[in-house]
Amino acid sequence: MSQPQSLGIDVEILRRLSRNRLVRVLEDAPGAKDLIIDGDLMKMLDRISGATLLRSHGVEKMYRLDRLPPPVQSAQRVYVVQPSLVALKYVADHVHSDKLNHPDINIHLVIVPRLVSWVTPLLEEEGLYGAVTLHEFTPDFIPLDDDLLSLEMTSFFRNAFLEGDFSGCISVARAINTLQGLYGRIPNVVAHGRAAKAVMNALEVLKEQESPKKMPQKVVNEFNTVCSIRNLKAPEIGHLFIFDRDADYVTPLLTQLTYEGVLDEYFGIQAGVVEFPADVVGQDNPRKVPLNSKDTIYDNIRNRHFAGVSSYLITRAREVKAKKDQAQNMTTGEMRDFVANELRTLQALQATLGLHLKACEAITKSMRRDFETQLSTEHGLVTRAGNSGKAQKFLKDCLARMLPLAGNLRLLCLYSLTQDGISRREYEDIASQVLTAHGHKHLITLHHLRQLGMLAVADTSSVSTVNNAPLQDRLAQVTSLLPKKGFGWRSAAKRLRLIPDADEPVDLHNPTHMSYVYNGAYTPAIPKVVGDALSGRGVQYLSDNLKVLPGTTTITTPPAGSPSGPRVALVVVLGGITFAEVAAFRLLALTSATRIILASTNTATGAQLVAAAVHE
Amino acid sequence: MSRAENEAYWGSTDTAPSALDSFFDEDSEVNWTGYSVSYNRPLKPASPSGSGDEVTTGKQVDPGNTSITDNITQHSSTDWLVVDTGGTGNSGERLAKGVGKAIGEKLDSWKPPSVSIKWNTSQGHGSGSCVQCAAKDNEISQLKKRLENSYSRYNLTLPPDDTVNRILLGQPYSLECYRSHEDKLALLDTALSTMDGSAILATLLHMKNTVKKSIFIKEMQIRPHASHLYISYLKKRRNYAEAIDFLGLLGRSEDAAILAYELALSSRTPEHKVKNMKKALDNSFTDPSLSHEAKIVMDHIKLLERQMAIDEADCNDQTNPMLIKYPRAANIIDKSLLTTLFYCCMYHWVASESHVGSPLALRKAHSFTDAQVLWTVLRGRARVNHWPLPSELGSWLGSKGILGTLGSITSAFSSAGKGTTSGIKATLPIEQVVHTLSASCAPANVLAVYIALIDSMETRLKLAINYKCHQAVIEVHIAQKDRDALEKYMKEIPTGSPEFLKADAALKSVKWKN
Repeated sequence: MSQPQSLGIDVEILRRLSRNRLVRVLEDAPGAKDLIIDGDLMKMLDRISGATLLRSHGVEKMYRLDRLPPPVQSAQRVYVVQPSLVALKYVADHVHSDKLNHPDINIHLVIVPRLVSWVTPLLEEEGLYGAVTLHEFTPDFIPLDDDLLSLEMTSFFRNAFLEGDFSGCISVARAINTLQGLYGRIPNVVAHGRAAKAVMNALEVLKEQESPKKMPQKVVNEFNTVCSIRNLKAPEIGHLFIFDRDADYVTPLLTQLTYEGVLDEYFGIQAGVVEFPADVVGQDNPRKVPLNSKDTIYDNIRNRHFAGVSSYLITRAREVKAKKDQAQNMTTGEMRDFVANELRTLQALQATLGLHLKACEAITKSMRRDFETQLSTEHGLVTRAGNSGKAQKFLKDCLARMLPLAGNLRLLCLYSLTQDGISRREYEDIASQVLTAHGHKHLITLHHLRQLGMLAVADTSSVSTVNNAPLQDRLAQVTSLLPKKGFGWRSAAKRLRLIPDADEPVDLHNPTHMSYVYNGAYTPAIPKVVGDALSGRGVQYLSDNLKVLPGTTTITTPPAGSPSGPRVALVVVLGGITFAEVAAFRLLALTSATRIILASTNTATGAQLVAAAVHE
Repeated sequence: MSRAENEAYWGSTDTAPSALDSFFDEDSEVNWTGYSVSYNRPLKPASPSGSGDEVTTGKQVDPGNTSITDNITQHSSTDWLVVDTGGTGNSGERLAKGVGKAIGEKLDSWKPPSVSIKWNTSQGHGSGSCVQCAAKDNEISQLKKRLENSYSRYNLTLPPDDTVNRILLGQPYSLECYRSHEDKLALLDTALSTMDGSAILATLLHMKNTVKKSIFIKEMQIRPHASHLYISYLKKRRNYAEAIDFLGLLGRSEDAAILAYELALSSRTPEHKVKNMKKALDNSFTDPSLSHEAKIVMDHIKLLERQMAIDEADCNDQTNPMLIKYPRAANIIDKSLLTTLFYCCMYHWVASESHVGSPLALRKAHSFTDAQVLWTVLRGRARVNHWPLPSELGSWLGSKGILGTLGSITSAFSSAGKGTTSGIKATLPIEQVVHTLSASCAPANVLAVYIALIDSMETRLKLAINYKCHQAVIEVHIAQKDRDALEKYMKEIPTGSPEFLKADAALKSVKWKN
């Protein structure tokens, strides 16, 4: 459903920029070298460059970073890692053991996406300061599709929202800045949340930095080649929206129902590629299939409600078969023509249709028997049509049956948020059942979920002790209460009109309303807010509305008289965007005649967000 | 100042500004006497006492060359003398090289007055009145202190935003020059306002390394974001002990307790885990608001101790037929409570309550809900191809344990017989139970018993037909007095089978509606 007219914005250029930057980093270690890559970065590097490109720049062998060092073959080795302690520890151990046997070896360490301040002292502690040459590689947004960009920063959510480390935000800002370099400074900006604020701050710093005299020559050249004149032109992107994931947890917690969302939940889509297990592809080995709009069949089904996908695929398969059957009655000439031109396309179509039909079948088969109950419970909770006692009973039953942890926690969090926070007593009751089913260690997991604000518990016990607690206790409590997360979801949903009118039927298969992604029970909040903003309701209305979501808002509008920019919007979601939201945005793009480009730190499911809090 | 004026002033072009530069070189001693001549003259226009001018020193000093010449003559200041007499004559020079160019320039501008002081004090008023001399010395030393302070506060430190932006942009930076507490705080707060984790961590670690703990804690208490990051950092560096200590000092007892528990869990062996959990319980879970959490940790210890005992009994047990028939996939240590119950139901179903692995003993030792027990018993037994009937589950219902459960009041009335089935019906979603049993290949007669527990005839029929449970289908048709449907269904049942006979008998005896 991506829009046919591209409006002059070609996101593929981003891949080229990232690739050039990667090449430059590789050339900083000239000559032959072995590459040792952090497993978490493999997918991202894969999308930027192929192995051929790496080889043409001196890369001989590539290894995945592991505890034990790979054999030394080249005189240089280049480590490409994230700034994570484990990865750096491995690198340090490797260097120690390699230097012992090969004192002449050159070690380069490329930190992705950013050389944070504590890396150098850590190397110093390991006695490796100076023994290792440090580099930084900051990728730009990687285009997963014409309208979907990702930085593939899979640990951003945990780092930012659980550990309070927003150091990834500057990398996001750099990526946005590249887009602004290419398409002009975006005049209208709405940023909501703490991470969004950090990105805005970083954008400001980068803007100052960019005044030409301050720019290093290398960067100037790069910008000159791609975008020098564009900066002076009218902006090609009119609106920038930046949201924190924690502004709306309810959306990812709900079970996704669009085909793409379901694929992500069942098989996992990583950087735009799904790996179908062997039994789905009908071969001995699992198969990786890229999912994007270049595949016309996939483009037609990705945003459909899952319930309508099979029938669509079957209809299409019949058409294709009918076309092939026509060949039976063809003359020899026609036949030759058919074989030369159409047959291959038809066969490819048939293969794709067959693959997705198999995937649908596999998903339907593995769906839980009580899938309907699960859905009606979730939707009952958000619309409040359901009985919350019944929902709690269902949740406890799921726990007693020891259903998978992520699913159970997801339902628990959804329950707590939609109740505007559960009481301490209720929490203790459910918590002990969670721990009985999944292990006591998840006391830590529940603690993390509460820190994230995904599990909303009214803190009555600490309030009662507040009066006689020492000052420092009270201070700590006051500050811990500051971000009042999850306690006003219901009024937020009402204010933003996220719950559609129950009397108005939503057509799931020819959708006109964004709530179709959740059976018409709920409209994802971020697309809804963006939709309202694009409909031109004014800044005041927008900022009033955003007040009900956790976090603070910054709104920038162009000075009066200057152009407000074309109807092209860049929406950045920090901490992961779900495919259900992507589908809602694609519908919004159609209904509001706006080109919407989505950008995120990564694509995510509710299960992945919950997993970020899970202990071990 | 024009050249002509300059000459008039100095009386000689030798003292042109360019020559002054060498005046301060390390080997410039030779020039001193040469200049001294022209020096004394201009002392007159300036006030020789010096005290009036000293305060305004900073203002009058101008980095431009011309004003340096002005200042040399008019001015008396203190610092150079002190530095000089202290035997570290060119420490200023060295400092100037250490910090950036801008500061170097500022320092340059400071030199000339100091030199003039030397002249003033040692020669101008040399052996004059000693009282005046002492007062002046006193003043000089005070001013020295002030100047030194002002050096560190305003002259040597870069503006905090510059440094923070450098960290942000990945450029080289140094925090050494932020020495005063105000500077450190300003730096930290600037970093906090950008929210950048890398900058905040760098600045807060600088503070941590340079101030005593109590001050650090005090500043962290009012900066929750900084303390949050610091704790994450300590955890990342596996410095749990310090993180727990720090959280305790911040008054965040729950966070400290959870972290202490996390640390205990990282122990390698289960024995150590138990020991460390007990230690954590004593040290970190004492706050009464943590009673729930403390109970969970106690429960965890109890479970782990039992799991160790079970494992010890089972790992070499050659007599238990279940262990031989279904070899253990893994040992039970560190598994959840329900998994443990599952295990006990599989392997120790018949064990007496005194046996460590007895499921009944486990049920009594820990608190479970009825739903948890029933589901686990059903699934655990199904795993070894035993499908308990609802009547067999009676003994599991309700609270038999010492600790008791919330559900005990309702189940107290349903201890046996009919009560059992209604208790099960109230506890479990029977439809789901039938799905589960069928998935574990339960025989049709067991399924039929569970299907019969469902109230809705429609659901019963649907399930029974779905799972080809003839007995249940026949029962529904009989209950509905639907002869046509039964006769039709009998075609599906093998002739002569017990179900067939039962249906056949029913056709003859029951009163049908059609």
